[in-house]
Amino acid sequence: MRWRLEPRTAVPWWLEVVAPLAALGLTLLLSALMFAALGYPPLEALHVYLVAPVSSPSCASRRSPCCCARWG
Amino acid sequence: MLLCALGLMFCFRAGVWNIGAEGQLLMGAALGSALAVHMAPDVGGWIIVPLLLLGMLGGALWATVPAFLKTRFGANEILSSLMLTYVAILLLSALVHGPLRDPDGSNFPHSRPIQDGALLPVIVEGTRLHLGAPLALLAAAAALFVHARHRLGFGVRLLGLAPRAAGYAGFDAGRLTWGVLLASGALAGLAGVIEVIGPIGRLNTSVSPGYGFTAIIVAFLGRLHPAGIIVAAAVVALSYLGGELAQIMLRIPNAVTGVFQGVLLFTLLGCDFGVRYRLRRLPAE
Repeated sequence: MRWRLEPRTAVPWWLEVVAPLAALGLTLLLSALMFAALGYPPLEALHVYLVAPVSSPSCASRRSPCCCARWG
Repeated sequence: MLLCALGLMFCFRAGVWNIGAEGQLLMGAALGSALAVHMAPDVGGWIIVPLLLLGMLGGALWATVPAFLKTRFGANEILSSLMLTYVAILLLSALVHGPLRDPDGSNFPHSRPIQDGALLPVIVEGTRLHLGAPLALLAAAAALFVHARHRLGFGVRLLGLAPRAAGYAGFDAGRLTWGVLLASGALAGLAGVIEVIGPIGRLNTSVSPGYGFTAIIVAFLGRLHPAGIIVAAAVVALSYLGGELAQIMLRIPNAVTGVFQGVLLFTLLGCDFGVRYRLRRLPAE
């Protein structure tokens, strides 16, 4: 059985949207594996990375504006 | 990051691979703060506008070099813009160690603090959220208009997709190349001067922890579209803050933030490859 890699003639618009979301999901998965390999709790580390800066009341009040500042 | 990524969006759409947004950001910061640190203590808020314009000028001037080299000699803009980044880093270092160094700063490499009147006003009391954030949103709205509704946006996209067709349609490739590089440099320079007269308050060698490079990831993660770039910039900004928080709470090295961003870029490239190509089974002979 032989396979060949060939360019798509037309890329559906939804694939253009799904690609970065899939990349983000894969990054989270690979990051969790990396944290586990480094000896850190993966779920807690991901929570601290991506949720904590905007979730807890103290963090949200202090960190979210920082996030906006960096974002800008 | 949002400002840098918006500028890069136009470049990448036009097929101009400007990798030097970091250097353009630093030069914008340097030129803007060169004026800002010499302001009188009672300077009014009006000075912010010239400072922002000066920052844009600094970034745009730095982008003229790869633009000239590309349009005049056909030099590869990836190399010229990237190498100029390191020149900008050294120039910034020379400035804060030399002419712009704070004479009362115990020999630390930073400028004098910028007067309160020249600092960007905080828009939510008790936080660090300053005028730079709405300015960036305004720039995104303007970029969206140019990208989707303006003749120039069409020309930029056409140049990237089919350069010869752009020529037949009446667009001058050289002028568009100059335009996207200058716009990108100006936006990066604006980001640089906003950092200095915003959260930092003085010029130092660590104005940017690599925002110009990270903006490349942001631009591609946002699908080279202003709306996507706004969301992507928020996600990547979150990773910067999360990295700092993880260092404090879990003692995870801050370098992991760079690894996170690198993994994001590689998975994005992988997914893009999967989108543009497909595996086809060949019929048995």
